[in-house]
Amino acid sequence: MIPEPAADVRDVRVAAAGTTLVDGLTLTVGVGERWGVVGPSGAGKSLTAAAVAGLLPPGTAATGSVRVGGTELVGASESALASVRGRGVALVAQDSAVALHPLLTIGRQLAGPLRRHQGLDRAAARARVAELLTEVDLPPELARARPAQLSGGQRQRVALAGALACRPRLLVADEPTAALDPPVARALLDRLDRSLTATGTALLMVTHDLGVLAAVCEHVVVLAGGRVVESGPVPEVLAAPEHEVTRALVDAARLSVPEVRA
Amino acid sequence: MTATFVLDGVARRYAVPGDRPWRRVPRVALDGVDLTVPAGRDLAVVGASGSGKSTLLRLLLALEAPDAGTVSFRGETVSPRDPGELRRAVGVVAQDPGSSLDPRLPVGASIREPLECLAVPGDHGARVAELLDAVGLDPAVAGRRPAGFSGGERQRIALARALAARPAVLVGDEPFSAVDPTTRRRLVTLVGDLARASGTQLLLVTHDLGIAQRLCADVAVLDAGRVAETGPVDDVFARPAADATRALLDAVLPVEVA
Repeated sequence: MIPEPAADVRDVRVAAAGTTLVDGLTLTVGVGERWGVVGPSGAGKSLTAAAVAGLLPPGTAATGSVRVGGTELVGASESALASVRGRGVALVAQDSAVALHPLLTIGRQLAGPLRRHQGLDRAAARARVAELLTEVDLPPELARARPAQLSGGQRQRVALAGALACRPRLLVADEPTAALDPPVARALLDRLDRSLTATGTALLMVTHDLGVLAAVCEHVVVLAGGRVVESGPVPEVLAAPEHEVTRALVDAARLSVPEVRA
Repeated sequence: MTATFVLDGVARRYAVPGDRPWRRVPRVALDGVDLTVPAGRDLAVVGASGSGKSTLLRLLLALEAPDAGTVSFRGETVSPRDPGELRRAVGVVAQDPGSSLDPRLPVGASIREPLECLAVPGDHGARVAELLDAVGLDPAVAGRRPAGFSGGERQRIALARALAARPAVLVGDEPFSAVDPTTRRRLVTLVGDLARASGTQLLLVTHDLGIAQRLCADVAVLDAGRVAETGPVDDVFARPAADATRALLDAVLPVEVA
């Protein structure tokens, strides 16, 4: 039997206020595969991530099909979506300073999904939180801290720990390193890489940084104006970009790499 | 020739969130910084988050006073109370044009503001049109408000405003980090061309080592509130002497797959 892919996206269209923002996206993320979604601003990258995570914002309407672990997300009820979250798909957003509750301790925020999706009691959840923090290279004592006491990199690790807490089939990450400085971003990407390998979780990552793409992803889709203009294995697309949008992204990314002449 | 900026033993502390939401604990942002920025040498200030880049910039711009040491601009000590000729001679582009431009003002009025505040002689309307043209925008857009522009266009408007009074020094605080890479590439070229054409000295705070190298001759690497290393950018990147510089270079993600 062929295993159900982590995510099967068929002809997805997302519209808001009469404007089509994602225009017929088809994409299959196999079990444990790592896909990147790149493109210029306004290409529809974040809405694509939101549609696959079942978290489209109010005021948007989607058609087509998004199946995660066999469950259809397009047009699904809130209770059906809740059953997919945690175990099926989880999200890491760009800025966890906004995604985390400012007044609750890290421990309470990480325990929430464990108790909701896995039915752990208070003591079991607390023990699991300590494990999760250790898994993302944070000291377990951080469970008592509040988000404002953490650095941006530590907050993103907490968000990653929370997203992977219930071992989802698919992690959707929307610019997870855009708010971090390069050394911290690089460390988070290394952590993400090891955590995905350890848990067998597939990845769909939105980024505008082709260096980030090359560091983590195997496959890439390039979006422009809501449509896929190019897709393929990351090394091939970066070495020989075919579409002008991809070429402009590659040229722009090279700007950020210093030339070191010995 | 008098140096543009000299920092002598500059220190600055802040209160940051503690172990309860209402508690604050002290943190040293700058810890005895000595730095000379010679006239005519474009300088990039790089460093990890929390290394003190933004604090350094606020002190250089005399928006805050140091807790210890002195900041001088062209040989004169400057402070928030007495910025001397600093305000007239320095233009600033901030990171986020979404919040640095007044949302209520038409963009032409935002660009004109420094001309009026500094009582710059000449036809202000003509200068605004010239500036919009120089940053690649149609002068006819002067009557529109910032909300009608993309992030990249707003950053061009912020650049026009910063250059309006023909400053001797253009200071950028991560001016390219809030726009997408394709837009960033065009903006970097534009800033380099305009600074060269007008003889404006650049002082750029950035995370992006590639942009630092393309726009600036010199680099200063900050680490934990101190200057870890300073020198010509090509030399520093080819032969880094400080661990902090090596860490920044190691963090650059190549675009090619190895």
